[in-house]
Amino acid sequence: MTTTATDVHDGAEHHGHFTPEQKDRKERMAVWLLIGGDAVFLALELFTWFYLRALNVSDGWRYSLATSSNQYPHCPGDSCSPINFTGEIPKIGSSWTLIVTVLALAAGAAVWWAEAIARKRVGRSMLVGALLLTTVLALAAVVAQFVQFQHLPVVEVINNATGSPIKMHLGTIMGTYASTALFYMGANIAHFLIVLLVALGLTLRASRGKYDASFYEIRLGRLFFVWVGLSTLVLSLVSILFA
Amino acid sequence: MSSEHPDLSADATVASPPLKPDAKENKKNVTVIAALWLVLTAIGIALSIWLTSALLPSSMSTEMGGVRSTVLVFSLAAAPVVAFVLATSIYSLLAWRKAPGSADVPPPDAPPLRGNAAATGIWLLTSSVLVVFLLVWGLSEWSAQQVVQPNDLVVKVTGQQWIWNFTYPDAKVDSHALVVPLGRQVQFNVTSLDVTHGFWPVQLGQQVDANPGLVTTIRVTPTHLGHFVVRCSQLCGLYHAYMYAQGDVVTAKAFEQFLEHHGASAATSAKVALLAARQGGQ
Amino acid sequence: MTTLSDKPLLEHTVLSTAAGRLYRRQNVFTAIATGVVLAALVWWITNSIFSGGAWADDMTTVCMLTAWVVGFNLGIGTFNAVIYWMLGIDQTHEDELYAAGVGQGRKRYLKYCTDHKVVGTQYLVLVFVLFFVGGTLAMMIRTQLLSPHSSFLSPQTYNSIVTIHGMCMIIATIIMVSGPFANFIMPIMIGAKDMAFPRLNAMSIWVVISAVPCLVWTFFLDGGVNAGWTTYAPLSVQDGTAMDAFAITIIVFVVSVTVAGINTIVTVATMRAEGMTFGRLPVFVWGSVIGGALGLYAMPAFLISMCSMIADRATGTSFYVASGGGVGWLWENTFWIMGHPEVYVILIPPVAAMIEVIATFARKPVFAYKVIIGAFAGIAGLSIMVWAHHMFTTGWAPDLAGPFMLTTELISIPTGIIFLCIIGTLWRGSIWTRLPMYFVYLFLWNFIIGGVTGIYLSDVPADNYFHGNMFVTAHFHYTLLGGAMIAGAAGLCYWFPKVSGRMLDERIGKVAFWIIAVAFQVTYMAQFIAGAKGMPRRVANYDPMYHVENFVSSLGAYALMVGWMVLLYALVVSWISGEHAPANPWHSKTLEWHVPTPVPLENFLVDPVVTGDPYGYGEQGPAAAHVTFEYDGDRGGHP
Repeated sequence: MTTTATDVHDGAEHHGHFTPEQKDRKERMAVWLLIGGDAVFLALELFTWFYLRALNVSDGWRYSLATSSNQYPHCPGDSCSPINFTGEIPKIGSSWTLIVTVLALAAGAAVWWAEAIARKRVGRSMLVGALLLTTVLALAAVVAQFVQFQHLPVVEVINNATGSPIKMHLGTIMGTYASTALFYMGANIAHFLIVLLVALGLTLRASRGKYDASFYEIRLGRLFFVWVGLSTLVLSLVSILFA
Repeated sequence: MSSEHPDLSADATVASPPLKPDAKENKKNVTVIAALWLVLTAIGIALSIWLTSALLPSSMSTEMGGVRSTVLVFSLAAAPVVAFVLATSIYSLLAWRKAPGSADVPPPDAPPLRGNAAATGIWLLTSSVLVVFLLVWGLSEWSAQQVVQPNDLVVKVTGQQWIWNFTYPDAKVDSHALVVPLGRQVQFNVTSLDVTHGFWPVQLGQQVDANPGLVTTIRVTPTHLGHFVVRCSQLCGLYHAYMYAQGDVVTAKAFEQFLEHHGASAATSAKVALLAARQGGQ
Repeated sequence: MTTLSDKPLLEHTVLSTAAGRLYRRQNVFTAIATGVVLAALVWWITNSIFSGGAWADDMTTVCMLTAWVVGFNLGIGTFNAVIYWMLGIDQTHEDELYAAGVGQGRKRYLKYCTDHKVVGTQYLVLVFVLFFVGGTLAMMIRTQLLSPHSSFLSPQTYNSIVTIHGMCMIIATIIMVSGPFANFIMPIMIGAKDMAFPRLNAMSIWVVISAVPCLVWTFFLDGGVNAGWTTYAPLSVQDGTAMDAFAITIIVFVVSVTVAGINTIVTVATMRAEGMTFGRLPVFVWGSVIGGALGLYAMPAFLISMCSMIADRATGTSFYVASGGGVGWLWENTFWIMGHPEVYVILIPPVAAMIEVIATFARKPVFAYKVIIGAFAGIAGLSIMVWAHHMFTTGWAPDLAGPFMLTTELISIPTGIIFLCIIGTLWRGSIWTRLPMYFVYLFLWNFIIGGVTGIYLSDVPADNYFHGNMFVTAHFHYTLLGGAMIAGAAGLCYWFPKVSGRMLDERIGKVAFWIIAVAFQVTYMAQFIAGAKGMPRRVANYDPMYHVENFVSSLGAYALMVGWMVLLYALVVSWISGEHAPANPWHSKTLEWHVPTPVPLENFLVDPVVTGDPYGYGEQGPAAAHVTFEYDGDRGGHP
């Protein structure tokens, strides 16, 4: 051993000491792979929708036959009152679904605009503004999705214990249409929260001048946000058109 | 540095071993492997015939007959393939195992054969032919099983944790034992009351899951008289192991008697129960 | 195990940023503490919110275990980089060196360490723990089955043990090669200094570690998970809160496998040394990439099935509840859309590792290099189209029997190529029968039997007899234990000197080998016989007509466990006190053998330049010397 430790690699290039171009290449590939995995998830969400709808076991998709009487079985102990459905489950209105979709797509458009600002080097404050807009839109999408949960249609059901009719909001227990549609909303919220956190990070980093020289992270954000917007659009179209 | 980076060019000074074996070696390789292959194939064929008849339940239906012949034919088709893999790997140990110079020094490098288009081609061709054979055999067996015979008997099978119920809708008979007539195709309409069960009349060589809310169908044509067992082939909870029922293939006459007797006894017991209830109410 | 801790240059690490200071305080103990505290807090909160509600127990369990996982990962440092990235604070060079384990000695094995070799070693230990737990559970299963009417275990305990044995082994086999060796060895093989994303690499191990307690905990919740590792709905919807813990385990595992898969693919795509073209990549690198890609496809299916399971259990949806319109076939589809590719996620990396072993110990180039890589790709491609062969007897779509029979039987063509490649590489080789090579021959024997018994199951009419029967159990143990695990053992014995820095005691290793080889055949041949005679699987008690087979199988299983324990003993003893290993004990040509042992941080003292593929055995000139080390004049490192 004729060399000393100082002559050779000492970890000087270790971890993250890559040029922005190298980082861009690695991370872009990772984001694409993540989108690929998410696309499989989306495909399976659609499979779930159409499979349950096509099979319509026990007329359980939307209880379209008024004669069917379905009682939810998974009531541990006597913690929930058994209820009967006497008619068709109403569709979830499309207005809030559309609002959520538009907000998700708008967040994608806003980050697209931010990327253009960064590319044209318009200035840091404009960039922060555009990213802040993205963040606000992502937050609005999350909030809108929660508001939709609160504004589900009202269903009249029979309480088996008392025999009297009661009014309830459409809920998870009301068949596979309600299950899948609400699952879609849950998946949307999970995606929007990721977008929100990333957008917030991009905004804070932009305000600290991290993107004055290299802004590949904004481009990666654009990739993912646009994907989220488009997948939300797909889910919304399916849940409106094929209810 | 050299101690940490072993000298890579050391081997380069030694002449490459010849790519083509000499005629004598080649002859030896081919002869011994062929002999081993023939012996192992013969053993494989003998084992296939013996094991298929010794292990699988005796056939009680055309479907179980199909299972037995499929297993036998597939085993016979696989025997030469397995024998070839084993013959070459055994031979490689017998003929090509090299004692290294010392414990830590590998034997000299072998001929750098990087591939052989002919060998690869033959391998792919053989396996493709075998796959086509398996597929054609399987599809023809399967489509034969899809034929619905006229005058078939319908039996409704309902699984629940952890018991099998059999209903003969035409005769309005319920039973916990499965009795089917000889020579007449039986259609089982299978469903479940709670979780997924696997309806498996073992010696009849067919099975299908019992799904809550759905009806699935299989058909069998019993060909031999005798006793069989219905088991549950899908883990269904606590007493899955004890979810079984007894079955019998009986003559057409005995089957009629079974329906009459069972229907009568069921009606009788219902009448008795009704009477008891009335008396209790008074 | 480390040579770096005493390098003077690296001593003067500076406490620089908040992120760095936090890293210095975190280890596995702070992780456990944070996890427990957060879980207790969330348990208290959710319990008071949901108390008395319809699905309170399930909701509480889900929230509490999520809190445990999040808390554990907060405590270990998984989220540090994310949080500080968001705040715009980037780590300094010193922080990164510290995170890579510089100056920490053996403590770094208990920390969120970004060095791929540390991560690989952590994976190796985790794999052994999981195998030990799974193996112990298998011993309990076989003890129960010693006699037909045994009451050693209650039916409920038996079912929960069958479930956790299955899932423990599935998790262990998925990570057994792609964890330790695709992390420790693979980056060195391609001439990289580390993985593409070292922090994500550390995340993949610590996330899966945080999942393991959830899996074990299922035993202590409501009588365990009783639905088998496949947790078929609606049976699993009936289970107690243990099923929630099971689902959380899987969801967390999915995160780990996804992250690891992305990392592997990006590493190979972007981190190769100069001259390391795709045509020169070692077979194991291809195997890791293809396995990782397949995992990336399979895991979302696992995620959606478990998410919808939790939704059914904890929020009252009816995906799998028939009276609410749900259907078990949905579960079976999504589960096997994951489950069949997953089999090849398990199989491809160990087989690829074994092919490296064969080339080295037959002193020959890999036979038909491009064909075997094509075969791996073909297996991966076909494996996403075969899932419904697990569902031939469910009755969900009788018309699809033909197409799925076709795809299933087609996959035997690329699988057969594995045998072609192995036999071709052995052909006229100079067979050096060291311990790794023993396992290669055992693989050939086991895997041909596992393959041939598979063709009966691929055939719908025959599967109508064999499905759900001990024959299937024996078949998949022949392919996964006898095939994948034995191939993994070949890889383990082969890379042991590089990973541990010591030579493996082959004398004890060979004793272990012979016990494993014989006991394995006894155990599973007996199960083939029981299955052929019609014994259903997953039963706690059985018809006395299967007594002899089960008794023999149990004895074989005990011996098999002894065999693995002997191998473990050889590994542990050699790791502690074995003979120090030279850099390249096998005189192999792949790159990992041309770095010093123990491997320094950043692996290469000088950058390698690759000029050929690493299989030039028996060849002359540049093909034989496939790599040169670029001695940079500035560093003055040339001897």
